[in-house]
Amino acid sequence: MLLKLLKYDFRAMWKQFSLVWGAALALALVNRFTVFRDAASNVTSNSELFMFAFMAVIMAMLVLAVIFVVNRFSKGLLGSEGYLMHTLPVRPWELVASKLICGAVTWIGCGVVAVASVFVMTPINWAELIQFPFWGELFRGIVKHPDAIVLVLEFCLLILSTTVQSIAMIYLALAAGHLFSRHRRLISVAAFIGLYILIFNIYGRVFSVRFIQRLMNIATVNVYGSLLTASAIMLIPAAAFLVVVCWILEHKLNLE
Amino acid sequence: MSDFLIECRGLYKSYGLRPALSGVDLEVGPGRIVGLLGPNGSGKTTLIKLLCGLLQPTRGELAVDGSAIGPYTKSVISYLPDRMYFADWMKAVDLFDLFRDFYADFEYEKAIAMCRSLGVEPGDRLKSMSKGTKEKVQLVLAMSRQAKLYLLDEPIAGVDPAARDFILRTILTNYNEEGTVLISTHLISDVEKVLDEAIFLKEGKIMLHATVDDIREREGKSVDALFREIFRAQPMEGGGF
Repeated sequence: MLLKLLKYDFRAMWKQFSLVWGAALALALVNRFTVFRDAASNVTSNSELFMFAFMAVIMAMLVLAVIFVVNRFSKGLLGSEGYLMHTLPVRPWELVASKLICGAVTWIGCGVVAVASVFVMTPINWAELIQFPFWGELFRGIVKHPDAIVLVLEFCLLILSTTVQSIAMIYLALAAGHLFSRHRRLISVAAFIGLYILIFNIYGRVFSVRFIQRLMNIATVNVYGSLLTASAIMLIPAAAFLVVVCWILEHKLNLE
Repeated sequence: MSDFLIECRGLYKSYGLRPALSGVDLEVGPGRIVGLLGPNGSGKTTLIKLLCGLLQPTRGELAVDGSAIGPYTKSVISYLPDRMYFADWMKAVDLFDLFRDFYADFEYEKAIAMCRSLGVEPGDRLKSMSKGTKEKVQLVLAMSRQAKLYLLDEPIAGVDPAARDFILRTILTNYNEEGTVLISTHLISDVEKVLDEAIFLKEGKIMLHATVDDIREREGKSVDALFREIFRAQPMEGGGF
């Protein structure tokens, strides 16, 4: 059932983001032929305008990504669309997991598009770049130390863990607002600020100088362990938040 | 397995301090068309939402087809809510696909045929549809299932008398006859002719639960007349005009 839910969540995501992602990449491509040509010659081709449009699209994309995560949960599960989603024969955790996976992929997708647009915009001569000796050395390095790939994967896991934790915090704040009959949005905002302060304080205590030193010691012995520990530190509160969210949807759902 | 499709024991639901349902005991068997009748604010929608799992009871027990509310009961209930529940970016066929994926008893071809007979183009985007057409799509979704229990929340509210007959006819010609249909409404005269049983709800309590034949025989009047008698509002007196 989770896969079926994901199919519809990803379809909704694609409807919203295909245009924005396409616009960001298209404007990056336009800028590639305007900004750098203007810099090289005295010809002007409204490059400032295109650059401004590109920056605006990137900003809009990042704002839209946050709004998307908030709306897919608040409208999709706690609003009128919840009348459909909560009458489907699925468990609340499947609904939450589907929204979470789709939200995380959306955020990461936006990040990838933002980085990719910079590459598209920069006039790199890929043919020359491929011949650059760095790639050969990199390849030889990976062959010599194949566990470096593990390190890259762990770094990706860390980014994913941070993303999941942020989304879980948003979901918990929205679910907390749902417990009240009035001023739900206001309470959700207050809950988010409260959770943020709480997490910040907990991490402030956990990441003491001694702890960081210990982590660095692990890193000198085993760098993989330190990245995994950091991921776990992100995922433990995220798991706790999601358990509470599922409990609220299972026992305190109130679609009045 | 219980003989009853719906079983409520001491069901109580409150919104804050205000009770919406107070100690409801109810048993409804299969193969019935039941009217859930009461004025606005009597608890009809609350009872239906509790059966669907959209609300959680404050206390008491609730079972559908012998099971507590959960994925199984949701798989046998077809629900027509009193509001629009779909995202505007979808088309009617997207919703049919979704229902086919999640409900084993959903009949896709029947849904398409019902759409055509109701004058709805299944390929149209919901955003471009009128409120009435969207309501028809929701009716098609609910009635294209071979469910054990149909929960229809105010299906004929806010439409003209001709449309009411049309909606009732659509319900009666498409529901699974082995299942039970629970229709909530305060427009008694329109539904009375199709009901097997009537449940009168007043201020969250069941005032009466009997077959329509019993009511007519015992009270010597129609369900509509009895409803008006029970729920007649007392005009304010002593105004001194």
